[in-house]
Amino acid sequence: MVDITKLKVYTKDYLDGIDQKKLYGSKCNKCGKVMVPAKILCTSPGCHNKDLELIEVKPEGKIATFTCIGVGTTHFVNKGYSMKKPYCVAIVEVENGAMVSGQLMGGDITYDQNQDPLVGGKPIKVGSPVLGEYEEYKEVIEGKGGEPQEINHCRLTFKLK
Amino acid sequence: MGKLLREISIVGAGMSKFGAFPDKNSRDLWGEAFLNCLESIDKGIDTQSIEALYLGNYSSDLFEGQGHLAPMCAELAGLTPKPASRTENACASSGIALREGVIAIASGAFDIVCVGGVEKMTDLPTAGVTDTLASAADKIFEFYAGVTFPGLYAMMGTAHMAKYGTKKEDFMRVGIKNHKNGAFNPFAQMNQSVADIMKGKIAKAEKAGKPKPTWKDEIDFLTDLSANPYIAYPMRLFDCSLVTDGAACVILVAKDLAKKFTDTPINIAGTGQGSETFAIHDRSSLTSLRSARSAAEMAYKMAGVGPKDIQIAEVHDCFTIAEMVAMGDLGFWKPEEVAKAVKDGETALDGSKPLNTSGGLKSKGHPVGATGVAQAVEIFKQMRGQAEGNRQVKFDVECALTHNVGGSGGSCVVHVYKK
Repeated sequence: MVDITKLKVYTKDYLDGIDQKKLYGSKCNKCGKVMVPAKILCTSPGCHNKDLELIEVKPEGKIATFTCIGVGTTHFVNKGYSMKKPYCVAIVEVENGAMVSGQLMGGDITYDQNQDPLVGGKPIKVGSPVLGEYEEYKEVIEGKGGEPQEINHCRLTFKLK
Repeated sequence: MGKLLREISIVGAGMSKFGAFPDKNSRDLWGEAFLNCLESIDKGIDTQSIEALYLGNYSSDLFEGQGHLAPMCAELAGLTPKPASRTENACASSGIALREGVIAIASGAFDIVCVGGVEKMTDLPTAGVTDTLASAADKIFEFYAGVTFPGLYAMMGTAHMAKYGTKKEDFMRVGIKNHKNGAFNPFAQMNQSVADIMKGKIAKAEKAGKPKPTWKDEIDFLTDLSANPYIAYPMRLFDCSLVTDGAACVILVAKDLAKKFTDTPINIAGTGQGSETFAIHDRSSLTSLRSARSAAEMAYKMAGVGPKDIQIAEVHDCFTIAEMVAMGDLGFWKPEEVAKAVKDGETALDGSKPLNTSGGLKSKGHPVGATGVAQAVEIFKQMRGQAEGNRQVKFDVECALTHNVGGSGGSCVVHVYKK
């Protein structure tokens, strides 16, 4: 019997892992599938095995697909992104087929003569190898006494190799 | 399993004008659609005979600060104290309401139900609309990474280009085709062809004394990044559906009662629904939706038909790439042949399988919670030879389909219609 409470399957545990610059996933001990974040059952069609092992996944792999966003979410608009300054989000295949979404860093997004995107002057292509980078940021929350309190967080981003 | 215990007919169908209406809220839009629906019932209906309301709505809570729309809309239609329920599956909200109405009649619980959909989107500024739509995606694992709703479909577009060699012009052709159809639809939000929009911009530049743009044709115009910028590469402004206010309504009855209301009912022969992983990075394919394939299989099987039997279809073109993904998922073409089919005009009004004769979400507009039922309204009109303008297809439609997707594909509902 697997005690799933011992696996870090909850969203907060995954996000805490990212804050500690670690990417957690689970590996199926039956079919070998790697899932990020960790799941409670194997998601392979027809497997659904409960015997999963918590593993640390290397945040590197290749771009499965991407987009360069001009009209961003409020959070990204507040960071200064716009139609004139787009940002790129990629889905990266990290390990054994597991995929994660993250911003592709490494410079401004521009378009070449074929209207295809570049990051810091380098072409962004499906299949391009990338490396994970944890970007640190601070969140201000209301502390116990009502005064503002700063918390250190990280988010997973990627950069072309 | 997989069968309806009673057959179902649509006896009336109507919609509000789609567009941006600062002076109308959900209630007003719904009222307009309901009255247009009643008007379409050839022999009339005593509204007191309607036994329940199923209403699709995605997020009046965030768009308008008003939740719990079903009893509000039931009251306006004079249905109080009949049961009134709201369904929410993002952009598939009213496709699901239609399916729930079908299942309710098939079960014997009711004989006559009203199914509607409504969304009022234009009160919020663009960033608010972007955030509200993005909340149909995975908040923690996609939204926090910066993904927007157009961004999700854009990533399917990038994957389609890499896998099948699809070109940016192929996406543009879908939009050009849908705008051409929508130009004939008096209920459409942007009922203008891309050619007319282009000519309008040239005339406007001339009038303002600015340099006259030198676009050769529609593709040249749509390739100009200053006229048609990337919202989310490779999806540009003209690849994206609109932000729309609108409502739609149909009346469903058990088939054996249909002749009381009209001599030409349209039957719902099959209904199917499926789901897909919530975040697109968890999918086995980035160019196909399991929800759509599974919903289509269920609906085809129930109706006893296959993709070849479908003569026309309204498919969920929230983005041009979404129509191309649908063409593959519904089995109309092989995914690698989709771009060619569009280029060859197979999906045009005079093609072998016209898609989105209404103008689709691209030109007609996409009030998300109203879209599923609005698709059924178009099929009802086309199958009865009543489509306005020159968008009525030139052949007798015996079998048609609607395909309504929620979010980035987490939900999909497909219906098959027969005469």
